[in-house]
Amino acid sequence: MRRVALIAMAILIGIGVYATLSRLHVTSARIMSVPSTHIYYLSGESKTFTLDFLVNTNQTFFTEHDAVMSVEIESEDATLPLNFEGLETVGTLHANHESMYHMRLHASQDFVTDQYRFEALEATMNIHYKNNQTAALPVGEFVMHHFENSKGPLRMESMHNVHGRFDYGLTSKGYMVSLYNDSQTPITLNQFETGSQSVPVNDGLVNVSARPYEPYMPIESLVHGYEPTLSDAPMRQLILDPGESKQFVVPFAYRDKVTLLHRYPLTIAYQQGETAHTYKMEDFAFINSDMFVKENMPLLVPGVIHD
Amino acid sequence: MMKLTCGIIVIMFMIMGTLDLQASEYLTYEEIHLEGRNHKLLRDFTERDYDYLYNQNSRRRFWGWQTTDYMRNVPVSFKKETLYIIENEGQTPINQRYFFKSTDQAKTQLSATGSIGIDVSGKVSSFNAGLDSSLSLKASHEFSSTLEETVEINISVDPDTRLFVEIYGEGLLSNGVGERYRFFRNVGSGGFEVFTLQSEHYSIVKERMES
Repeated sequence: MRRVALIAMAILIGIGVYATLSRLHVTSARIMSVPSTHIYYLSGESKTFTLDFLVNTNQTFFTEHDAVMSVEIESEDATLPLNFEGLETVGTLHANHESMYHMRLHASQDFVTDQYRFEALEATMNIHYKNNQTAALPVGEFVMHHFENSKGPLRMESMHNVHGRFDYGLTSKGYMVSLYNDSQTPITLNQFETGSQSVPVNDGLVNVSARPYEPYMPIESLVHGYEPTLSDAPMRQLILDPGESKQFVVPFAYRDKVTLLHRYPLTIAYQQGETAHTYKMEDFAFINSDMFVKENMPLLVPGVIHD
Repeated sequence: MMKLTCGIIVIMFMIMGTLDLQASEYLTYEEIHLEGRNHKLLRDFTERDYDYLYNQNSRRRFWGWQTTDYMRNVPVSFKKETLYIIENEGQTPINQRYFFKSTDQAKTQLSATGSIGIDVSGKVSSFNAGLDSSLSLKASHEFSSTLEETVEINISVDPDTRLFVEIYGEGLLSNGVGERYRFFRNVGSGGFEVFTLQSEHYSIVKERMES
């Protein structure tokens, strides 16, 4: 009886040691992410946002908030340190015939320098853990920009995201914006921008909307011949007369491939006489697309764990 | 006799109570937009719909659930809510920084009628008596903790202007009816509905106030 108890105790100690060691240093765990488009414009003191990834086991430090030491976004030539705000397990899901833990990392960034801009078309999020290991996850395009709004006569009256379905889940196909000229002089709208290289505005298809906004309206019924590929045509001349209000439809193009757009800002370059203005709004439309739905599984990219 | 009548009425009300819809949050949305002309929510099923669906599958089972789908993973759009309204009744524009927080809500939400019940004791709601597995409703997300993300914007609200912030979104909807059998005997039946939340996005509208 005593021998059985000793064996049981030895087995338990063995399991404990194994579990501890496996949590301390892991090379067999696998992490994955869906590279997407993150554009954050910042007009205030700080910006909070989230970045999601998958881990195939919860028996590691990858799912532990307290194990994280620091987080950064890395491009080819620059590194953007982020403030780590938290790590949570959102849920479990099945990806590529495997049960995975859906993790959500909360981060924030604050700027002290005006006109700061961080841009990376293929960025990597590095999560540094206290055991000196690092998880490197491809997060796609990452843009962070600090700006001061210029004071001009252009007023935004409404903005609606136009959501749509591509092969890989739901994302934004563009937006509708109603603009008003609050002055006595005409305004010429020169350019609409998203701030993204992978999801630019499809300039040639921007136009005054013939139809008022209706919820659930697909962009195909607003823009004749809408295609997500970038049109070669230049933007039409769009003028707002004094006191005039017009609704514009602003479709997006997806360069190379359709990626998920998490948030996007609104940027409109316009001119009044000889004076150039830029109207900007951060995070105007917020899209909370679920990255890890079944349709997006082909978009999953493995991350790298290194010392 | 009087007591008996009252008792029967009470029992009838109790039975009617079990036929009520047990609903989830999605049914509190301001609007749910179904694209197909014949598409409908479980709460809009008529007695004729139930009869039609039950008659689609007249074979009795030895054991377990016999289900008939009305809709299966049909894309739906919704207007969840109007977040808030700000009115600038002053003479000067208001420049303010606003914070919106995405709210916590279950990714998979269930509704049921009749003797189909919903178990809400776990992290994720499920239909009772094994209907989940019969419907192959292995949810992609088995549980969902608090999901919260803050969106911050600077916005200017002109004089005599009202600001609306509305939340729209998309999801998938499945519904139908189920009958439960024990030794070829029908021991329960009702309607089921599963809503899977896919995305949410915001609309902002400024509106001139009529003076």
